[in-house]
Amino acid sequence: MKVTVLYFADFKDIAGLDKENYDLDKNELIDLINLIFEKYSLFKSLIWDAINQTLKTTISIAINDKLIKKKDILSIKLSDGDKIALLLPFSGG
Amino acid sequence: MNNGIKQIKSGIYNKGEINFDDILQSIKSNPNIKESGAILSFTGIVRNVSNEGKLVKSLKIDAYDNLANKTINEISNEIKKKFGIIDLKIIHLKGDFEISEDLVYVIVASAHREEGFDALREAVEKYKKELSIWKREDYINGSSKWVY
Repeated sequence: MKVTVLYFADFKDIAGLDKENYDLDKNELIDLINLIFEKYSLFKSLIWDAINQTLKTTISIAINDKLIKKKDILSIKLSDGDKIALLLPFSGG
Repeated sequence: MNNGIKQIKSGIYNKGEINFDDILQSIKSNPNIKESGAILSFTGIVRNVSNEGKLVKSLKIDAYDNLANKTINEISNEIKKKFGIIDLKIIHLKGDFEISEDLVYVIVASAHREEGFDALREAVEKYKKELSIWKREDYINGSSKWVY
C-alpha cells in the first residue's frame, strides 16, 4: 500500500522535502509513524511522548486534508493513496 | 472580474500575490456594500523581536494550504452568521518576510462599527489559533526556530 506524507515546518526542514511516498506492509497509522521514525529520528523528539508511548497531545493528524479527531488515533486504518500530515502546533503570523 | 475589480477570496496566498488595496477594492465591490457604514481592518506584520526577546532578522511562513483554506472558510461563515456582517476577508501570506512586511490581512465590512469591531477581533483570535500555518523566526545571531 502506498501513502504520501506531507511535511511542514520543522519536518520540511529536517527531511528537505515537502512530501514523500511510503510503502506500507501494515495499514495502521502507527506502522507509518514507525517507518518515519526509522528514517528521520529527529521527528521522534518533536512528536512522540516517550513516557506514555503515544503522540504528544499537541500533535494533530490530517488525512486527505481533514483533521482527524479520534482518541485511539494511532490504530486508525490507512488506505492506499491516502495523504497524511503530522501537524505541529499552529503559529500563524 | 467585476467592473475591472479583481475578486479576492479569503485564503492562503504567496507573498507578493495580493495586497491590501486589492482586498479593500474587492470588499467595496460586494453588491451589498451599500448597507455598510464601516470597513475595519487588521494587518499582521513582522516584528523585530520574538516573544522571548530575541532580535529577529526575518520570518518564514509555511502553510498547509488545503486545510488552512477550509478552516478559513469555516471561520468566515461562522463569524458572518454570528455578527451579521456584510463581508469578511481573511488573507494569510506565506513565504519569506523581512521586518515590518505584511503577513496577514483581516478586513470586515459591517453596517455599524460595534459588530464590525467584535467580528474583527474574533476573526483575528480564531485565525491565530486554528489555521494550519507555521512561523520560523530567523534571528540576528544566526540561529532560527519554528515557533510553537
